[in-house]
Amino acid sequence: MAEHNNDTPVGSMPEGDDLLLPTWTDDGHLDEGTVHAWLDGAFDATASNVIDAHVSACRHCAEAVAEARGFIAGASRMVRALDVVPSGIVPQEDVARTASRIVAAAAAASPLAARETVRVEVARPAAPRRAWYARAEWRAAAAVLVMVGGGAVVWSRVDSADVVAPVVSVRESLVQDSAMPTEAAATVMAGEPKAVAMTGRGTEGSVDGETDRDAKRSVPLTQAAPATRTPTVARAEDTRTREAQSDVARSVETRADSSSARRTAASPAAPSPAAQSLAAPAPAVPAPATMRTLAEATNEIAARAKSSAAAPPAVPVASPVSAGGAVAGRANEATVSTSVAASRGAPAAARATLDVARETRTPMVCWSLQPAPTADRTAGVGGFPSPNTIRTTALGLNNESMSHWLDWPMRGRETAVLLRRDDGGVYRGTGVAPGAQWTLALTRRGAAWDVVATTSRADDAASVFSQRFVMTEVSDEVCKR
Amino acid sequence: MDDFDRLYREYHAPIVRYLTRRLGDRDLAEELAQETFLRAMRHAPLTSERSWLFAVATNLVRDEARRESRQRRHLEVLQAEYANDVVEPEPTSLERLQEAALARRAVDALAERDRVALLMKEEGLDYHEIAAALGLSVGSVGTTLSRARRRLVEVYEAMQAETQRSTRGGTHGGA
Repeated sequence: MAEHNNDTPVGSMPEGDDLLLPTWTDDGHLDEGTVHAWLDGAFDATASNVIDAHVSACRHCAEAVAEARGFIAGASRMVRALDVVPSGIVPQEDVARTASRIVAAAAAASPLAARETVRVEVARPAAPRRAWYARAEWRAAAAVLVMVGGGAVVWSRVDSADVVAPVVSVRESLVQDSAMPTEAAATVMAGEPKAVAMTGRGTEGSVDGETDRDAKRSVPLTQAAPATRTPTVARAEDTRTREAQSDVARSVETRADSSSARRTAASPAAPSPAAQSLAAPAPAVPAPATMRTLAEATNEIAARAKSSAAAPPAVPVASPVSAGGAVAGRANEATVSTSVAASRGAPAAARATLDVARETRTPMVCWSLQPAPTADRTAGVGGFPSPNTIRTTALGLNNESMSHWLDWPMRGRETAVLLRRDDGGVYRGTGVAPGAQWTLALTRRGAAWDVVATTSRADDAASVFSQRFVMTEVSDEVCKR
Repeated sequence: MDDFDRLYREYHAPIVRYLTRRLGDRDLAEELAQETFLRAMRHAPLTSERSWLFAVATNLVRDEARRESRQRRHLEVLQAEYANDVVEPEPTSLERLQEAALARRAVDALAERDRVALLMKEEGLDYHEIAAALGLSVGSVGTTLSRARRRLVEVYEAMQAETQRSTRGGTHGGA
């Protein structure tokens, strides 16, 4: 590069070249330099007006002007960005000091450092406390829970013609025991108090109260209420327990209407003609006054048991061994039913039937239920009620269908039976009862059903009782009788 | 002397800024600005003060071309230090530094005349002054500036896009 005198500006302004004029392209548009010069205000007023008029009229030049504005603004911004220039080089000592701070901060935040400093304190296990289920009120509630959930499954004696479902046997000693949980008691025979234990040891006989004699003597077990006692067993009665039972009974009655609708799962349909009593085939058996859901009954029982400080502990209904298994060798073991009102001398309420159809407008089917001609019953305990008729919702023939059976196989309650068809065409369903479990196997026989009902004690699967029935659909009028 | 004082007060900052933008080094810009005003003091009364000053400053920068390699190495060192060092936070944010670095690279990508003309225009010199400082015709200043601005924006955007791609790719995208 040639040396030059720095004191002399490079280049010189040509003489006469101080007038700036617009420059046009060959196609009559402003060239880019002219546009920039115009935007920079380099033109005098006359030239500027000419350019302004042209730009207004020329779309191409107007777009060129817009583009130029963008370039001018962008370039200006970038040039201003050059002003962000640090003064001088960062001193090395500053770099080292900063780096050391960064290293220290990273080390402090590392997991390794955390492990070195954090102490984990293991909490000492709390001292063992009394189990919650050992408390009296919960035991009582548990007892009721088992009974209510199972419903009326009554063991009966083998030789009893009126075979009933596995009955809740009553343990005499428990009845006499003041600590016996009367809430859990199923049935107490008049004069012969029996404790109720969900043992399934119904060898003492049927207690489902098919006979009038039995009905008078037995105090049906309520699903939702603690066991009721006849006055003759007042010697084993606990006053406060009876009051609790009464309270529950009242609540059971009052809830009959509201709960029945909830229980029914069948589709609504026109209500069938009134059927007054399910207990008609078994007049001795107080018809269930009401139906309650298990949860409702349990909750109320638990609440009342809890509030009753002197409430006797519940019978361990699920433990026949603890209940002693000693069933009073009496006839008419406890019948699980909901006829608490009957025990209190309210015949009307007692005879109030579990009328699901009326309450829920579910079409019901009336069945004739008869023991099979060749009754096949294993020797053992338990049995199924054998009313002449039963009512169910429609039995579906699908591979899987749900139906509701009233008062059978568990007396005094509505049983939801889920039937699944197996490969052999047999519809099978299972369920549980207090201290027992049952199964049903239905085989279609023309217009009738061949029913094989089997029950076994929960604590002894070998104690199987099986019985065959023939279930034939009959007119609804039959169920009304 | 009063004129010189006036001259200094009126043009010192723009000169420094202009030189800083040209060089990327404020210290050097200060040095050259000092030299510029020294020369102005020795010169006879200036007819076109601004254009003269900027012209002289431009010449001084051109004279420094012989030491351009040193200046580039210096700038590279500065850039490397800013990119790798974790130092106390400067008053200027990292983003602004990165933008400045990109702008520097874009400006350096311009032709000398285009760059100088643009920087002079940004300092407020009119077309006549720029023409006088650069020895150009007035009519060509507009063309020069238009070319410089378009080129600067296009280069900057290209560099910015390249930097963003490098950052997303996991490479160090320092400017």
